Amino acid sequence: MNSLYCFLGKLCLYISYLILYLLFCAGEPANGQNAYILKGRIVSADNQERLVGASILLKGSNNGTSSDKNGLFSLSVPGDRAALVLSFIGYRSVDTMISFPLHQELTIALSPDAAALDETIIIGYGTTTKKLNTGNVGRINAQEIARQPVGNPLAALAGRIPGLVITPFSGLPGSNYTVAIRGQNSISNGNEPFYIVDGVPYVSNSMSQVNGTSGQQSPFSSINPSDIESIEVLKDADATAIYGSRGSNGVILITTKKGKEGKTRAELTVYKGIGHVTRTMELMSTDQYLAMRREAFANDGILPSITNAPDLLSWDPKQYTDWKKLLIGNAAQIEDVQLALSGGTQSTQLRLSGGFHRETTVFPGSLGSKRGSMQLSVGHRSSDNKFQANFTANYSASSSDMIPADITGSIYSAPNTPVNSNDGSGPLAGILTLRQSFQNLTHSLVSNLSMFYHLNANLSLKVSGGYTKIDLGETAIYPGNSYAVARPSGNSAFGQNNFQSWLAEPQLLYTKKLGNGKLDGLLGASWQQDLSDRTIMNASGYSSEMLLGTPSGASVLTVSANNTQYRYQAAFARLNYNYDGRYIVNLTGRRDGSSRFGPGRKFATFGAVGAAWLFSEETFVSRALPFLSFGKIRASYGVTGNDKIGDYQYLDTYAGAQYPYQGVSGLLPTRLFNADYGWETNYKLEWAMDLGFVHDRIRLSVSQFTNRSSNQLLSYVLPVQTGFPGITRNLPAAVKNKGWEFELQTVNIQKKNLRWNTAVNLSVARNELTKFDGLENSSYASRYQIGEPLNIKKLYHYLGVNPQTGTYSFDLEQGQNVVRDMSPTFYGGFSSDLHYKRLELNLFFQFSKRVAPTYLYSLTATPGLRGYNQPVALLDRWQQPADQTDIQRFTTGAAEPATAYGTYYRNSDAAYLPVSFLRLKNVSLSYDLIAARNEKTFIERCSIFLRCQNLFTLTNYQGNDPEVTNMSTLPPLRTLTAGLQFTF
Amino acid sequence: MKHLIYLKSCGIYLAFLLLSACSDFVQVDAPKNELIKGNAFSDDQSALAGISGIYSSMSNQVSSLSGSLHVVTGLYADELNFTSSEDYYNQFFAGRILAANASVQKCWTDLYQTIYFTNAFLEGLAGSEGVSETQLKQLTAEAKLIRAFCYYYLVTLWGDVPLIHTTDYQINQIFPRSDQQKVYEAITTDLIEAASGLAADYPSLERARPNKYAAMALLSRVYLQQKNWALAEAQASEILSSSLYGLSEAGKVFLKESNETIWQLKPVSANRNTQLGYLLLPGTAASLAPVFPLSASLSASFEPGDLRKSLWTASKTVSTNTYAYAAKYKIRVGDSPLNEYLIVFRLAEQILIRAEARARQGKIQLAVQDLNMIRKRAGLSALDGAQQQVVLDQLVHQRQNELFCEWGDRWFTLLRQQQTESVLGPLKAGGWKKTSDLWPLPLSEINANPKLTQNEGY
Repeated sequence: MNSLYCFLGKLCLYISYLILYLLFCAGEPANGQNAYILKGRIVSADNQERLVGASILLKGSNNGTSSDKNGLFSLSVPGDRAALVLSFIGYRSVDTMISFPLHQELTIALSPDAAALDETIIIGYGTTTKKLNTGNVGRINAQEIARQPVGNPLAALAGRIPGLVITPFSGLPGSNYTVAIRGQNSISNGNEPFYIVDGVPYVSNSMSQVNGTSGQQSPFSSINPSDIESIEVLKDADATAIYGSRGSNGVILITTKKGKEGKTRAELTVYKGIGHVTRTMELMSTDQYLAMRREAFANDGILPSITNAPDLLSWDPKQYTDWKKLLIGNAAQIEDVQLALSGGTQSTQLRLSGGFHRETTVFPGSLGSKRGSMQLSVGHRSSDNKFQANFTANYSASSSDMIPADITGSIYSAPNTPVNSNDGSGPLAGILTLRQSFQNLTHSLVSNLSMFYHLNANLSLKVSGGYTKIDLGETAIYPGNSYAVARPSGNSAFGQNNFQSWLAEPQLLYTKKLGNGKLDGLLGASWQQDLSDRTIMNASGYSSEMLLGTPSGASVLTVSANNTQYRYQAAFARLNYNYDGRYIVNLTGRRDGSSRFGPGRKFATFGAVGAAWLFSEETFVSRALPFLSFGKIRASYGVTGNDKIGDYQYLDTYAGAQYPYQGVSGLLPTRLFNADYGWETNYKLEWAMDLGFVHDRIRLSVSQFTNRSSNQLLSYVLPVQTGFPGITRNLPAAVKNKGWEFELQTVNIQKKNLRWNTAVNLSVARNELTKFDGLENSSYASRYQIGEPLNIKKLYHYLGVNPQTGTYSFDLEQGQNVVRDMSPTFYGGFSSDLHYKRLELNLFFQFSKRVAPTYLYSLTATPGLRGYNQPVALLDRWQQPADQTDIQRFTTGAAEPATAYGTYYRNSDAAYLPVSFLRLKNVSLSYDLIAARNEKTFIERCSIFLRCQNLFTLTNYQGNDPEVTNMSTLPPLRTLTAGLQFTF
Repeated sequence: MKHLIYLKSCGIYLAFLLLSACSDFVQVDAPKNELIKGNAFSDDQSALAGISGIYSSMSNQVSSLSGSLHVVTGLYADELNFTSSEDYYNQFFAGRILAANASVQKCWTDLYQTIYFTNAFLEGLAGSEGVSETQLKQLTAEAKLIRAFCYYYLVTLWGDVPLIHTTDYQINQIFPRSDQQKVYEAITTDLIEAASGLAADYPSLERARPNKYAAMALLSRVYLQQKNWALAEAQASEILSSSLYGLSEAGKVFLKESNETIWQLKPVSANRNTQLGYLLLPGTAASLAPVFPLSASLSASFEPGDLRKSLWTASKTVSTNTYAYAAKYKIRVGDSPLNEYLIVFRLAEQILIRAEARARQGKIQLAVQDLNMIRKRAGLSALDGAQQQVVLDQLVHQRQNELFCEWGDRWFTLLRQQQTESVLGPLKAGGWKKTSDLWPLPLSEINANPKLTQNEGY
């Protein structure tokens, strides 16, 4: 790692030289004409209040000033025309051209930012604005990301975009997320969105091969959230059809920060904080545990013996270890430092940043992960504006020093288990896990270069290319003494996953005024290749435990290697016609070819049509409804595809057996084979209305979508009597996702010193399996039901604890016929942004309701079983005939109660209950110590801030965490951080 | 004018780009680490790789065939106790297996996956033109023996099971359970063909791939299980008449050079001799008890002076408890040196099979002669002539002491003798029912195949 940081340091130095060169040598020479003194006033557009501290900058220069306490400014301007850029926090920036001499006092009105209808939105192969967009695109910007002390940019999205559900796997650093845009389209896997970072496709699935503590590592933990300018979430057909076969599950565009024209600014942000586990259940004390065990033996009519009850007969009955405190009760440390330099002239802009992020865990010891990252973005345009080039490179190195498994499940160890016991069976395995280690190191480079040339007034040529390389190395070490039954020597696993991808996309852009409107056209082609090279080595037979970290010390080494090549090509086109700013039609089409399909099945065509009517621009509307400041109706319909299956699935192949037999390398069939499968198609229909009232101080968006996926392409689950547990094939099945999304943004107070904005979003959706020919006779008969969502559980109906026998009872005659929908009923978020003078307070609440497994489901051990401590809540159990309770009698594992719990209860409607929660996901409080440039210091702005995640949660869930409803997984932490930000 | 030229050249360029977007680009090479099926068995060498892959998968420590199958059948019968706490093992010990039991599913999966491998291999061989006639005959016979071997375990553990002889998943995924009798017929057919396709000479060193006597050894076992005494006797006699085999001295039976071995699987996994040895032997630390110690009834069943007790079992005292454990295989971990292979068939079993077949046919004297071969090797005195029932009881007893913890022999013996309820009923905490004679079909299989029915009692 040290050499890496040294390398990063050197690179920073070189890049600083480059910046200096560009700033001082590459600027345009000033001409020597007469200078005017420009005087003016800046006010707020909605109430004419003067704005103090607004920035006025002469475009293309470092020449600028700010407004005084009366909103007045004066600026010396060379020449008789001046292009000004006016900006103020919370307001939309204005570009304006002034000609001298002025005939009246200059007053410039800035509109509040909340109504940022003209804000640029990134879409596939282009940009648009909220106002003119015909599709549905959700967005979060850099400020919203910056307020959240998170290590992974995906975490920053949770609850903020309607239609997007992000669920963490656990609260450990680096852990992966499940991301779904508008529900589950595909029955099997392949429901992840398509991710694009700066125009280049990024991996959507974890690259982990050797599982660490956090399970699969999120590929996005390599991306520094502080380098992100915006994340756009493309949802409907209009927005996603340009991505053709890969747009079915929606698209997430991550755009990194670029240099901006203007004076050079340096920004330093530092924060530090701690994280704790929030909600856990109270567990039994030693006395309670031992009483439970004795009661279990009495219930089962068995006498405890030294073999079946060492906890009762040989362990110290006075011993009490708070395993929860010992194993997950520590404070996680979080540190983050970001330094960014940006600026530029009209012709060349540049941004350079470096960041460091470190998180430790709540486990004992100094486990944790860290990431160093660097970003460089350079933009250049020729003086005649005909040629433009942009280059962005994001590089990061992340490493973690963890253990191979989450030990949260071990907090349910019997409280009198001897701490140094080698009996690592059952829940105590976590103690042994702490003797193991898991390390990984990821290097990630995402780079993109695009060149743009205006051939003439109407036509431009653009070529963009990207290169991504991600290398992940993993090492898991299992010393001999970390096994439940100690081994004379340990073993290790080494994983290396090298991924690289290149992309080339030439495009032709056409724009022309046509009649009363404007026509924009795009024609492009795309070539992409992904190469992936994976190796796993399992090493054992070490002569010394000291050598476990290297494969070279092992006498037995088994290697499995795996290469895949994925190639993809496409031609795409878009035609957009905007008539008079009132009627907009947008047509997109794409023809795709993918190497993941067999001969004759490689190509397919996708497309969409989108249209919008800005009815507030019609005079009859603005006359009839003067309070309506903005009104748009839009609709889109189109087809996209899904090729998220593995590579080579259409080939009937044999691969090498894991070990040779008698020196002969064996061959075994790799999979069941089906060469004749094609694309899964997804038809998306959406209509929506966007409204703005009272100068856009109230904005409402309502959209309704219906997505239908057919020709389901998936790994079809088979009984293993066929030889394999599944096969890839198209299924005669159709899935519908239908839902509503609402967004309401209001500017509640807009005063000089006080501004208060709120926003709320709500999504209500339902998933439905609409068609499945021959479902009854398929291997899916017991999992799905036509007319019900895909994500259902078919369950026994629970009848309560039998008061006579004390065991759970069920309606077994009806079988598993109670259907519970596991997808969210509704979800959304609420945010409040309050500015008072120099103080800013942002709150974000996330809420959701869904059916989830209860704590009793995920504890998995029948209460009373040896070695497993249980929550105190279970003390309300059945003890004697006629007891009325919902907890069955304790048992040591006797047939009847064990079956009742293990086979039936966990598959009954009692184990799956509605869970709703309201979580204060994020609080950010900041205060500007210095708000404007001070002559004495060179600091332009200095603020101090507190940022917290998961501050509190209101929920009806009895277990640990209502979002990660698994009792053996570390729940998301409550983190409190404090920091400082300087702008120079 | 200039713009026009730009436009044209640009248009031509783009048209070129788009036209060159022919399907060649998305044609990728085959993966480097895999072979396309058509090339898989193109010659003798690759066909040999095919059969080796199957043996390797059976011998892999993750396969239940190499270890856990022996253990769970031992737990389910009265051979083994259990000192750990995993519920899926405990269910066998307590005699109350649930349909969701992971070990049941694992055994089923491993057996059916091996069957798929053999079916695919047989189809590949049949369609291959490059494999020589002799190799084709040899490998076809080996694959049929393996397939029959897997079906033998399926049919004895679960009763009626789907009898699958193709690789077509469309047919196989809704294939119902076939009648036991049909499965036994298919096993017998496969074994007769295997025995005729295999030579007496072993195809490879160390008896790690089967010869014709291996096929006959399974055939005699199958006939015995079906109570086809005369045929069982004939098969066993033919093996016993071969000069290849002889009883080893008791201390050397489980070494790889044993002259008694008819077929053994060479261990392949890292850090192991046999996986069975790994499971049954205790760790070296003083605090570690064997996870699966011998049951009291098995320990007590040895007659005084039985060498098998002193040589094939051992004991270890942990705190105040003394645990007896099976120690046929002596090496728990490590793969160098490799001294112990997992013995699939050995001569002693054939002697006991013939003895039982003879006794059932009333050939008491001959049966006692066979029995005495086993008793003599175990250091016990010879029996004199006796009643048929006495001989049969002695046979059950000798099987228990001779073949304990080997491939579920005790469990299959109790089944064949219809003694499961009388022997196991009093021992099982979970209670014993007549329906416990068959294991439940794995729940995941019942869920995945609507044509499968569950065994009674589950």
